[in-house]
Amino acid sequence: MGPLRRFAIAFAAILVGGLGLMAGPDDASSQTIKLGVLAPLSGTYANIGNHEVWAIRQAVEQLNRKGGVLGRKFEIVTEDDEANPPIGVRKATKLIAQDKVDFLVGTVHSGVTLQIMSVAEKHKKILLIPVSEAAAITEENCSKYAFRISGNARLQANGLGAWMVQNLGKRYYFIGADYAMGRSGVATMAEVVKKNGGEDIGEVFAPLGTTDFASYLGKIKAAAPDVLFLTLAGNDVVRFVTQLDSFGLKKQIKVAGSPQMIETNVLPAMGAAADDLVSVTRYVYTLDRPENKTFVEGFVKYSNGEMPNQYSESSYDAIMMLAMAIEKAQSLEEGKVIAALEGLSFAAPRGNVTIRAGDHQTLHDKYIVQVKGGKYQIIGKKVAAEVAGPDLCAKF
Amino acid sequence: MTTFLAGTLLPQLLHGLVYGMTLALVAIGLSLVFGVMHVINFAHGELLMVGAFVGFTAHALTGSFWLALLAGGAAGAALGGIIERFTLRPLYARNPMYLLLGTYGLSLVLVEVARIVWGAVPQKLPPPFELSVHILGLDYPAYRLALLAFTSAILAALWLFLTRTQAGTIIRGVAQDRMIMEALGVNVSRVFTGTFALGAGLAGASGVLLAPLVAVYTTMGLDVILSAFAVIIIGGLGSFPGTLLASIIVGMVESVSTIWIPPTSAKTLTFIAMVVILLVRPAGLLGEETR
Amino acid sequence: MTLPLKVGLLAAAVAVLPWVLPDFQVTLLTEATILGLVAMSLDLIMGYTGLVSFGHAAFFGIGAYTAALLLLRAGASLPAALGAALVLAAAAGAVFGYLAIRARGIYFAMLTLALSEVAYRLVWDWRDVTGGSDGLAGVTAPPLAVAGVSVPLAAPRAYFYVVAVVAGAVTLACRGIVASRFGHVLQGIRENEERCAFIGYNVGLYKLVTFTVAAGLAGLCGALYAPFAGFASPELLAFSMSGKFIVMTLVGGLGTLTGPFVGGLFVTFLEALVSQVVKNYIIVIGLTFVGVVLFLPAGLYGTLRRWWGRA
Repeated sequence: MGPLRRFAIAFAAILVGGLGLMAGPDDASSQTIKLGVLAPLSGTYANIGNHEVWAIRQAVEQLNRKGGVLGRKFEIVTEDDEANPPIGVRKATKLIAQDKVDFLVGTVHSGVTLQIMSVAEKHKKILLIPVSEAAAITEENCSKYAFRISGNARLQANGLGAWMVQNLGKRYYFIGADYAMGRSGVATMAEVVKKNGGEDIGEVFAPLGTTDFASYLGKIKAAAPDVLFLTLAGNDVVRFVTQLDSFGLKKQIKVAGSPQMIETNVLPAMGAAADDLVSVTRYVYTLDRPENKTFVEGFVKYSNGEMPNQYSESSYDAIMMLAMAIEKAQSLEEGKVIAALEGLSFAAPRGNVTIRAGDHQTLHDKYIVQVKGGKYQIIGKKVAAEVAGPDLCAKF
Repeated sequence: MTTFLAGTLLPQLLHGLVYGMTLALVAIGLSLVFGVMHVINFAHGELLMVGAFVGFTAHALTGSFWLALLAGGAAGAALGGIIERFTLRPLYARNPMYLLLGTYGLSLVLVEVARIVWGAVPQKLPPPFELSVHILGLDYPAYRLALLAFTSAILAALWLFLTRTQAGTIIRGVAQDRMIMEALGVNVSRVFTGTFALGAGLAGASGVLLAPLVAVYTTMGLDVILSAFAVIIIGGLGSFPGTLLASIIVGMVESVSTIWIPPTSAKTLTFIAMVVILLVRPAGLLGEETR
Repeated sequence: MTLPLKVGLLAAAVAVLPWVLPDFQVTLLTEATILGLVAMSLDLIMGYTGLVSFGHAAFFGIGAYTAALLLLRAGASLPAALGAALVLAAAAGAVFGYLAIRARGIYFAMLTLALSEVAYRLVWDWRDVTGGSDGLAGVTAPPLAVAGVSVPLAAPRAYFYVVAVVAGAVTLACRGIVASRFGHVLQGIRENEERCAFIGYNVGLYKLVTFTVAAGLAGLCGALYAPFAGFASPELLAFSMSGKFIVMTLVGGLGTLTGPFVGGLFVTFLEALVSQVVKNYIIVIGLTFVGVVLFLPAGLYGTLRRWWGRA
């Protein structure tokens, strides 16, 4: 019976040890404010995820240098959601249930964000959304616990749509990433374009990670639009724009897109292919504001010289606004912080930003930009009130 | 009607041809290995991926695309040889299920090893030339047309190797009848290792050739392997002409059908075709009805 | 130790566990159990009948979507959703099986792969019903009305019990199948299919029935998974998911039923350890898998059981 008993004991020990190991060191050091950060750090959105993480680090270290908030410093725990919803849900659950974070920040992929919103709400944790743009996040899927610091496909559409129809052309073809963000971006823009007298002559969607766009380009060429509007992001948009250019399609078609198309994480890789592209953004790093200058100076230290874009800027804002809200509420308790966040205004690098209480969407100005020689030229501006759009959140 | 033909159909046919040839390029190594060893190498995509990464590193160090191509092919072949000798050879005597699963397990390991060595961020490998050629009313990237030429050259070279050289003849002999070849004194184990290495080398080279189109990233093998399986099944397991024919047909059909249906649905057609072939004529279009 | 005593102790341990462990571990154990059960159902096909199926995740996913749709759109109760998922997945299994048994060996394996790939793509394309690439979100298990009392099921502890009960039922069913005459014929098919046919067994029918049953069980697990995770998404049907189940089954130990279940626990726990101890868990799993294929064909549990038996 000797070896048998030994085995049983060993086996049980492994099982219990394994389970126990996962409990991890119980964080009795609630002297810090723990932020759980979810971002895509691998795959096609990795470059966006990096911007999110760099800016959050910058904000946290800036706040900690001043002693943090309510006498407590911030601590970050980061997880890679791989832009994959099931993985995002698991990581978010782990951050909340195992790492016992106080607040959740993330993420980039709208599909992941929509899922982790449910997780955050289930566990009654505040979620700050720094990048995702799908309209549903603050419309039909809105949540009391979620605050969107980034823009919104609808805001983008309101900012650019009318201008495009007046200045670029009437016949529009759309290509988008085949998930919430891409589809939302196309749907909202198509609506605005049509309302302003434009025509939607076709739409096509490419799965995330599509590498060869030849068939899509064939369809686009066959449709012969005046303007191509695209809602692709990350590496996909780099490949698409490069391939679009190498097939000579830019000569016949004007190209506009959601801001993911021109942000600093993709622009260098596209080179000359990006010339003349038009987009709308809430932020360019050349904005002449003192808040922006300090932000940019600080940011490049975290990013190895890469210039900030609207993703990094919003991620930075998210942390700063959270700190402001905690200060205002004088508490970490969810209900009080939510109340403090609603209606909060902040002098951000991008301009003045306010969180609308009704749907937790930040309202901000939009800039219409065109790329020339790798640089942004601001060719138009729409103020927050013009682009805001209605509050379509009915859940709280 | 003529504008449809010239403006839409012809370009899509051209796309289809180019895409089909890239499929053939990827699938040919797979087909070779199955034909000779009766193994479907689930790690084929990962050998392609490792070749692409080695090529990327070689290019980063030397700036030469051609050196990258050589490096990628060589790396693939070397890795393939090692894998066959140490992980597959022990499995030949056992239930064939384990051989299949063994290559699947290797694919998992290789993806992770690549991630550890090269990182999770996709990398760019620029083509050797960036010109565009004006045909059929559009500017067509010359590199894509060059791929047509490369693939044809590789297929032709492979064909010549298999039919005109002694090594090639031995390989074909082993494919036909292993036991007789053994009786004739051929070291079949070594032929297996060599063939697998050749298939892996082809995979690595195809990785480098595809990289300018699709970028270099750890899951690039997964993205192509299922289509490669479809193509070798539709063409007929073990048949080279079958693989080539199926690749071109699949490429053309997927491409042309995108005129009417979304590209993702076009891909579904390919797998439906794979199911149909397996049910109706498992030997495929040009395969032999032996098993 | 007699069987009833062993079972009793196990049941007691399971009953106590969610009160002793913190919520996160309970959730982890729940997920591991669900996936382990899928691996167990795959063992019926791979371990007992000796067929390689690369498409098992299709049934898991079909079950998940069925339950998600019924819970979200039809306000169904959890037992109803589970039952419907079992039936639908079994039906899919019957279709797959009917088609697949026409092929042998490698062709069979490729056919299961192709069929599940088609299923995956159809789920992706059919956006109106399945939500396409975004899937279906917000799936929860509604409270269950038991003898007039409304029992909430959504909390980790409550759901763990639900899963444990289903696990008990599935295990009993699988053991019953395997120990029966039917199960013996399956093993005969695995050993030598032609001889079995010569003796007079309708091998095709046996394969078909096994496929159907295993698919139904996988679908049942999928239905457990959807409200647990809160969503159903196309990735649940993907080839990589099927591969994951194969890894669990093989690493655990083919043909043992308990082995694959243990394999499921092993893989799930390992994934959870990722940020803490083993940063590159997938390589550990991959290497373990290759190691098992090369050196320990009986799997981790199977080998352990052999040593135990010898001791």
